[in-house]
Amino acid sequence: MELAKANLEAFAATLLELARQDSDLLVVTSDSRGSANLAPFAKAAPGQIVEVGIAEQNLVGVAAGLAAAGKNVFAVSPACFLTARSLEQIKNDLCYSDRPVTAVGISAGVSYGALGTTHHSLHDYAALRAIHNITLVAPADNFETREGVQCRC
Amino acid sequence: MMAAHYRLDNLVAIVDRNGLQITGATEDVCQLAPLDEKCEAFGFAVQRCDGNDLGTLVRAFEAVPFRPGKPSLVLAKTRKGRGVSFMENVARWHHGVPNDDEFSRAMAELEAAEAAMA
Repeated sequence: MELAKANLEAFAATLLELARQDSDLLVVTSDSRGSANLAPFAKAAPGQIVEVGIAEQNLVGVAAGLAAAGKNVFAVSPACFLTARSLEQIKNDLCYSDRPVTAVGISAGVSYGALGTTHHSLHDYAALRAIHNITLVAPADNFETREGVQCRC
Repeated sequence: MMAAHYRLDNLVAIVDRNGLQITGATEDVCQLAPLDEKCEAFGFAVQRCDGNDLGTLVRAFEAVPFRPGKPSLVLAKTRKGRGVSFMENVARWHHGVPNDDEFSRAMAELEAAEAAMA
């Protein structure tokens, strides 16, 4: 593992490794494969990625449904939308319904910088910490990112 | 939109169209009609039916998919509180809690209906 590797690179590489070992692993994206660095994943494993369009609430609902059907699901979306727009689906469809889904919020904090407050995600930890039956991980570097992805639901 | 995009014709959505919400009639509070046309515009094949009639519902489900390549939607017209005369189609029973007398009367009606079915 390179010291200078970015979190997103480690995320995409680890996810592809896992997908190759597990045909039940599915990645659900909300028009976020580019920003999540998952375009190479989509090319390498086209049968293991589900695109829902710009529809974060549906992203989480679909992920919960796939998990209920026995799939090992990653739901990947910008943190600002995932943790605000679909907070109710995280609370009800995932946590309350006890569905094992790994939700990945990319570009957290002020990563989107110039895109402004609509794209900033300063509320995510506060909002999710108030919900029962969820484990939160904030990887600080590519090592922790890799470990976090491997510790998936 | 996604269901139509992926042509999920093994998916069935059921709308319990009882026409009431806590404030009153759905069409007075904030109109939903024409719900069938709206759902069709989103790519569903829609069938309307009497949601309080089991035979009609079974026939609808047996007809799935209503159109090959499209998700199906059963628009089931129902009467909220059906089977208990004083609760039926009364908005306040959206969240009403029966007192002892109301509970006894409701159970008596339901038990009589059950006995008639046997």
